[in-house]
Amino acid sequence: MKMKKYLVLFLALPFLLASCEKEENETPEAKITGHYVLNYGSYSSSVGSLSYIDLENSTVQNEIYKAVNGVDMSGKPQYAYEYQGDIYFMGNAVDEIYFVEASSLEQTSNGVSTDIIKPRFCVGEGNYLYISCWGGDVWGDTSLGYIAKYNVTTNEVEKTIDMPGGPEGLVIANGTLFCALNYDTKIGMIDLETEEVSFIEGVPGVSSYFLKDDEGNLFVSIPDTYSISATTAGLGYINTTTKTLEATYELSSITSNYSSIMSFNKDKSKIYVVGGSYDSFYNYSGGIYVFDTELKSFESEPLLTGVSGINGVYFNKQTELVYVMVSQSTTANGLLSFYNTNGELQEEFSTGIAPSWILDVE
Amino acid sequence: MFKTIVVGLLVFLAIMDTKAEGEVKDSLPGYLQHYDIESVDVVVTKLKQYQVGSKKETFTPLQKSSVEQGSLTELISRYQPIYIKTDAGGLASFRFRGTSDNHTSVRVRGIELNSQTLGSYNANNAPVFLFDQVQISFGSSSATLGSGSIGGNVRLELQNKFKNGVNGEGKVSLGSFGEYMAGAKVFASNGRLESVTRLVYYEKENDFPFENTAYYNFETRSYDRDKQKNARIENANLIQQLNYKWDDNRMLSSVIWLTKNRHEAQPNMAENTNPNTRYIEDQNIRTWIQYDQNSHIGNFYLGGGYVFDDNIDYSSKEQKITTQRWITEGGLKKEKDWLSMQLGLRYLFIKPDVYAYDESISEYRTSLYASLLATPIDWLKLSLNLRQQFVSRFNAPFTPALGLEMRLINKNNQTLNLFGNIQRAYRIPTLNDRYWGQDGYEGNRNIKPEDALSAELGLGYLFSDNETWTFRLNTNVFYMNVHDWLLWTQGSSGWYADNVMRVISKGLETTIRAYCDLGRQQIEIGGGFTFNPAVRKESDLITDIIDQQLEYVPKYIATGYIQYTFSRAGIILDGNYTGRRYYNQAGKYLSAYQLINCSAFYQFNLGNNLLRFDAQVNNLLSEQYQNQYQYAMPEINYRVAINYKF
Repeated sequence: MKMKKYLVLFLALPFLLASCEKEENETPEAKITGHYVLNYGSYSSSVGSLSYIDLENSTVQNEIYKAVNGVDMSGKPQYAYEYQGDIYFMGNAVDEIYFVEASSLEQTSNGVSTDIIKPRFCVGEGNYLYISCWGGDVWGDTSLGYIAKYNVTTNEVEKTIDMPGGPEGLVIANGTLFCALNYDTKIGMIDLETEEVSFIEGVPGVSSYFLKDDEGNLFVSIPDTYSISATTAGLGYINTTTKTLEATYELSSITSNYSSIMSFNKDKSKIYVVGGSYDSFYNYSGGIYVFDTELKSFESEPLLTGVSGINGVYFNKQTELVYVMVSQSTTANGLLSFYNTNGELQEEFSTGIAPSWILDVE
Repeated sequence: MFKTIVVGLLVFLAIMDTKAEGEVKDSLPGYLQHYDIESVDVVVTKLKQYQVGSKKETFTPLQKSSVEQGSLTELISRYQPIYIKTDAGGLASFRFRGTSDNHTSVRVRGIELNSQTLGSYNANNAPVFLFDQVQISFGSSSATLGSGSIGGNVRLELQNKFKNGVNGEGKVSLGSFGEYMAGAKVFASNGRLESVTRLVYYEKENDFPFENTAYYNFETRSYDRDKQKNARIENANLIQQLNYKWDDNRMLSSVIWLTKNRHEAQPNMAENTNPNTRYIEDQNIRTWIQYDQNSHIGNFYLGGGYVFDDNIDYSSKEQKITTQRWITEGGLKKEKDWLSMQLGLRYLFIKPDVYAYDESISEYRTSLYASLLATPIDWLKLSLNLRQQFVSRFNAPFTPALGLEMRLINKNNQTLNLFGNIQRAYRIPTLNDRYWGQDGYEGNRNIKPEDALSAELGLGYLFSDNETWTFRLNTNVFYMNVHDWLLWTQGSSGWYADNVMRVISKGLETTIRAYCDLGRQQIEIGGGFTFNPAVRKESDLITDIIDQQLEYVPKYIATGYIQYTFSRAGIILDGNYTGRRYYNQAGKYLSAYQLINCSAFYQFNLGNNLLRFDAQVNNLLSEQYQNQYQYAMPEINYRVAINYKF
């Protein structure tokens, strides 16, 4: 009898899920009332910090984590990720994962360091966060990298899965965890059911981050780095069904920064990408380049050029403004500048040192 | 313009009377002269003669002996109102008059100790015991010393005694946190030939306790006590001098200094849990040989040196950072009545071997300099220094300097001097600034030299009743405007060097000393104070904050001491106050701190020899402080030492 009940439930499951998906699509997007800006800080002059941008009142509150918790943030936060009501931080000074309650920003427990060495990025699935970890000085030994499987209910790393090559950005698509490798010309993959590791070979450079389109396929950034020169730097396109790199689109100046370096627009018809180059006087001129996902090519004119210290980009899908994060020095506050899609400056906020990622507050 | 001046000076030298004259005599009353600053290094004395009108300081014997177990950092930061940014003994950098670490040159004889790749000198690598005196010049001196001397200059002095027989001293010291020091100096001479051997070995485990403010325990709601890890220091230094004196007019002096300074890069508080140790080792060979001759032509000098600097980072040992330097310098000094002139030429060839430079480079730097010192009346001294440097693939600016010393009051028991100078100073960007090329870090071959205009004006008052009391007060104001200040700036693909700022540093400096000699008892009270607003006035970086005090430049810094000696015993109590320092432009600063230290000694005469015992308590009030952001510093700590002079 009991078995029969489970069987009915099992058969009904696809319909239930489909129904959920439909409902989700129909639900209007929550209004974005503000953003948290994650500021990496710098090795020598500051720990990281969190800024709050209040969009309704056009105000900024820097050091909001400290205002809530009374102490500076621990570690140089490499990445922040909101999952199941908490915001998780990848700490890089003390290698640790720590989290705050998303609604209050209050931290109530110490960070987790066990089996966490140089955490970079994470993505959630079920009760788990998959955390890419360099595992040590990856530039000296590329075999050290791994993916930590972190249980968000017990706050423990349950398992580590070897992922050599400097694992960086992660994304889950078609039941597979795709892993950008920053010290190898491959893309790592972990089948989430079997946890078997495989690779997409022949990537024309190292990779750093992913964006997932509506078909569940991936755009991946392929920058040129000092360690490994890219034969074609720019964006790659991965078919997640065939698990192949189908195409590459050249943008030789695509940045190798560890921050939010690309962002879809609202209907995912465009990708805003951070890039730049040195002029003949050795001055660095950064900009925002626009990739048309339908024409599969970069627009001939960048959205912005000549932005010194450009560190990241983000697209606000509600206001349709392009956010540009600027970090010119390790000792000075950064800037968050809002541009419209014609490249006209709309508003500017001073953030903490080295703004690198944005989390929406809804 | 420069060519005309040089030709003019040469002609003037040629037509001057060829008879050698003595030094331009100072009109300071005899007993006051003993209290004025003295150099013990004859080579240094000659070089500094033309640096007129700038503030100079040195240390009393008791001050020096109280920190002989330690480093130059300890000596200067304890007794001079100069900020040195440092961790707990591993790495230290000078911050003279609001400038950064590569704006201060540190020298021994004709050798600059600053790294040619980094531009700075680690003051923790110079053991005080090794040297006979340390002299500090505040402010710019590029016209007399060349590139880099924008903020200040430190000279480590080595004495040539030529005293018949063998004499010297040995010292052993033990301190808290596994500190151990042993040193010896041996002078051996027959009056003509002299050998001086100096040896210092220093080690410190550096495992001191501290409160770790980088790691908040959310469960106990407090900061935990911690113990510093991986901060061990081990320094070994050997100096061998060999000097020969034909007569009072001809001398050959040579020095070879071998160092092996190894320290673990102290992890900051957040990284103190990291089990990995990063060893940094500096191995140096520094040599200098100089011939000096006084003749009817003038005072002729010719020197040459070779320097080998090897920096080894044990976390990536295969990544080589070495530089070799060959230096030659020669000149002629001529004196006639109230005029003294000097013409010189300095040639430097640098050959780096650095893993991150993208090609094999070498560089020459040739400096032509001329100096004129005039004492037209006994209460007035004027100097003019001119220098033009030529650097391969680089344009260095022409640097003139004008100095003045004027005795306003010259009574039997007191003098009042007015001194001042105005000069141009510069710094050639380091080799790293221009040639570094590594993932995320790019040098810039098109950067310009930093270019500064600096001026100062001060008063020096000296009083003595010729029996008991001596009092000295120096106070001065200074102004420095540095263009094209060089910074490493973050671009989208990492960091690159560029000229981005104009900085103005100005302020007031005061030093005071009062000395009372009561026969068997002597008391000295002194101190110093610096007020130094130093701000960015312009910047190419839109995120820089204009007119905010620069990072790691305290606006206020003060030192004070009282020393008392009675017969064979003595005690010195000293303290220093370091004002708050911004460590970034986001409004974050390190709190001000006060350190109080106490040293005492007792000595016995053993025939002609001397046996001395020293005891010290440092950071007497156990102040918890940070000199550098998130780097722990030791609380109260102790030292004992025994010293034998023969």
